[in-house]
Amino acid sequence: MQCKDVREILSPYLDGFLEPEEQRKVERHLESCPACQAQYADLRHTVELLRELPEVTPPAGFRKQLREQLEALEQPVPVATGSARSKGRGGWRNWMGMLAAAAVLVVALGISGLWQGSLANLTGPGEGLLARLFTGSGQSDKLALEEQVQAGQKGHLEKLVDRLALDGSAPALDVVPESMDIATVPEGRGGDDYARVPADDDQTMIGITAVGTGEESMMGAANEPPEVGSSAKQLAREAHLTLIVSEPVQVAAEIADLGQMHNARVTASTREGNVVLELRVALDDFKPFWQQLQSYGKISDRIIKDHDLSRDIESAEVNIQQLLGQQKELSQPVELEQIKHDLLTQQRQLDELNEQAGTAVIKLKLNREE
Amino acid sequence: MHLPDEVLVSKSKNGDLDAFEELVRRYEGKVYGMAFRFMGNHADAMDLAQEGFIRLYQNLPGFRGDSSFSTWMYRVVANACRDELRRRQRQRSVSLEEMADSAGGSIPVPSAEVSPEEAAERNELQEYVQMCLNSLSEEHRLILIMREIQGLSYDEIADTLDCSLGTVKSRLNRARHALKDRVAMHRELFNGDYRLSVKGRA
Repeated sequence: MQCKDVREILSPYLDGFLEPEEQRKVERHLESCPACQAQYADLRHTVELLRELPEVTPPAGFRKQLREQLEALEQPVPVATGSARSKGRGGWRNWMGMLAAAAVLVVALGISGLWQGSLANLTGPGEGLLARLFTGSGQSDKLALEEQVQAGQKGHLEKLVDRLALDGSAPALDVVPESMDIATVPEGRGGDDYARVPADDDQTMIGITAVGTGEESMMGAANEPPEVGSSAKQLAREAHLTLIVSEPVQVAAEIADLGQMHNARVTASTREGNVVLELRVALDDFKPFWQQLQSYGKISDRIIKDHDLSRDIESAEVNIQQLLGQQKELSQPVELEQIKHDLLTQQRQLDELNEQAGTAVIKLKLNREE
Repeated sequence: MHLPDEVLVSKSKNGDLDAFEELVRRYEGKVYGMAFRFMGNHADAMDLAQEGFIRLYQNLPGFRGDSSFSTWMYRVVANACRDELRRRQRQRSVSLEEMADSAGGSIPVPSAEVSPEEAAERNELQEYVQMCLNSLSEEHRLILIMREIQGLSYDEIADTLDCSLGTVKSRLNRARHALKDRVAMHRELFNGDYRLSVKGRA
């Protein structure tokens, strides 16, 4: 073996990284070649010098500065004031009309979410979504409407959703003025390439959903100005989490226990070995619970949506007042009957809204590892 | 409170910043050390080290505990270094160090002012080695840090740098030789009289 060949592989030789054959060749060469011996000795000493380099104490204030940055990450993003506009101006009237028709559907499907009730009247993809959500047809876990996110909005929204997913205490998604700076998670962070995970998804994969019905959009058109002067926010949170686990049923049991500790109402169903859980907690209890849930498996999907119900609640209350007013002026039994029915429906809806406000519903899917 | 790393990690996952701060306290010397060895100065090292810890915190949900915490931590920090390296490479079309390196090292090691004896007396040997490190290309510096200081395996290095095992072998080889050539200008450093740390040679 030539000296220059040996020099090429002295480094892996040092680390014991050569094939036994090559290793013997190098050893034999070194025995009889003082020049290469010296090279090798120098190399070893150099490596030792490096390995002996001590740790370096950071300058004063390092930890404090770091702590401040971490705390800033935990804070919710300051949002432009104004209640979330989940519907266009005057849209609540349309909503009311739809709601009456949807009421039967709502009751029939046993859906508790009123915003889902309004979905019921969508034609086209929205309807398909509803069907998929509630008939358990085994479609993919990602809510299918993410494809409907307009391309132009996606980058901006993705950043926001990414940001929300980090701390789970996000304000309503549908208040996103274009000019707001939400770059608290700069490019390159988020750990999507820190280690080669065999699966193709990374842990920050977030599905984005949008209900595309033109004027009504749960994500809120970015060019729609937020309303000024908010009333007390009455938020209902809908969170979806999909975890990959090796034993879904076992994990589901653990999570049920965990849920009890957080005063959550838990229901579960299984489907083809996978488990779907629905967990209801008070919004105040959401954050720690949500974070703990994420440690139970590998995250493959994660969405949080907030709905500001204050306008809906207000509308419902106004409607009830109107109906009561009308009731006074009617005399025909048929009309009275109709009014009573309307009042009942409206009251029930108001009750449901109030129940949802301040509550978070977590739809947790536990999928078996393939 | 002396809790094992795993417990602190678990608490940190739940948003317990105090627990995470304890982890930082335990590892800041190492993390900052890597950052400093790579960047060569304290200001840049501060930024990089903080970046490293922030990434650690954000990536906690993905840490399953199949490797030890410190191994996982080194990889996250190595990634931060690698990203910084790429950022710098994008900003610069030609690196002087790289040119010098490939030409056989025409950038002189600034060793004229300080003789090894003086350096040892003033306990500046470490600075001397660091100066030699600084004169290497960033690529060489990074792979040396990953191998010799972080103790990552060839596989882990290949994975992090997104290159083949063969590339790791040859690049590490060249990096070590490059550093050796510079340090060896003062042979005396190799005779064992000089200690970099109180612990001495392993």
